[in-house]
Amino acid sequence: MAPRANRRTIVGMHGRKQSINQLLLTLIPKLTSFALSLSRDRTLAEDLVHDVISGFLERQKRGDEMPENLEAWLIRATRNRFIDQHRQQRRRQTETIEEAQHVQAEADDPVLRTTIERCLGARPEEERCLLISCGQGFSYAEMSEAFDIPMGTVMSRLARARKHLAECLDQ
Amino acid sequence: MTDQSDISDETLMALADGALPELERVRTEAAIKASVDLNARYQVFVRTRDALKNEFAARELNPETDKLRDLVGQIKKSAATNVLPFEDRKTRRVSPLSFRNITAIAATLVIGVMIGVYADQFQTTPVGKGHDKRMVLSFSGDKAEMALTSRGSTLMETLRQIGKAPGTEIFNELQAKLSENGIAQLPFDDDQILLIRSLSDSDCIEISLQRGEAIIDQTRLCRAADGTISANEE
Repeated sequence: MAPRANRRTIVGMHGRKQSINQLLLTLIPKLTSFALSLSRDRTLAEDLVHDVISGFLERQKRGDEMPENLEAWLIRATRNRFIDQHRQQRRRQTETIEEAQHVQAEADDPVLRTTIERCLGARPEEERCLLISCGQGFSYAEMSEAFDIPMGTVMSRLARARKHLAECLDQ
Repeated sequence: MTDQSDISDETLMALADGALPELERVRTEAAIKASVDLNARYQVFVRTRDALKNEFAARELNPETDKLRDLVGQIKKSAATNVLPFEDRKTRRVSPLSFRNITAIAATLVIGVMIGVYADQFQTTPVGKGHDKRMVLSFSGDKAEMALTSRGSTLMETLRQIGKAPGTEIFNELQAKLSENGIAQLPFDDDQILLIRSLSDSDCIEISLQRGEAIIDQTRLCRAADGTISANEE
């Protein structure tokens, strides 16, 4: 179906029809969790979500085309925005990641957590996004939709990334 | 037994993630049990699955910063104004004679009339239809279309009118058409056709009105040596 502007309802990731505002309210906590996994900093994560949601609301006001799958669109927008910011402010961002390591204190194994962060920090942003989405419980189909890459490519990239991760964890 | 080289990393990963279809799952699990190497490859995906879930498991994080909290507040307000309370909705029931409904009906009528007028442009005049028996013959040339009407008259009377006017465009064109094909067929009424044939043994044309195979009426137009045309009823 072709995207339409000014719709009041939209289909969520799991195919439910909801009002856009209701869907946004349910998605913000999940999006914040995803952004936090990317940025490792709560304030940065919420800024990221704020900017992405504000951008979406602006689109809506302008009457731009609405995405068919809002959740996938917001995840993709969050990832793209993070990658842009990360590339622009790589140095500052790296310092922030180091400062913000205390955020996920509730993880089971602090040693493993630190190792994972070190391992993921050495990988390209796109690969990190896939690994984070995997950890967040996204299906391959959802990743495919969110990152706009074919499902076969998602699987091959993710398998390769996990092999790299395993090698890094073994070191 | 399945050769372990047949099983890709993607399949092993899908098994670890619980995303493999049942049949393939059983087949892959059997292969893993039978091969130490395959099991080692599989364990890579089991370990990374657990590590990633421990690290990044999705949580419902409510906003902590004022910036995002304000935005959520705005969206909540907007979501609330989009919902019409039940009582309000009842009072807003639209009357059948409301301006909106009347406008919609008027618009439908106007559009219907416009479609009718437009469609009429394309209607072809029925040949020999009803009381106004109109035989329309279309020809190319300066006068693109000429009509011969025989109001309430018989076919024979119509044909006599043709015969009375030799040299007219209708007659000439008819002759040209016949010289090309030797036969011309024109619709005349709902289920009738007018069949015109040139007769090779004389300077005559035979005109018959047929319904299916049956000849209802027939006549012959002949040109005399002095150029006059005469019609002979059979």
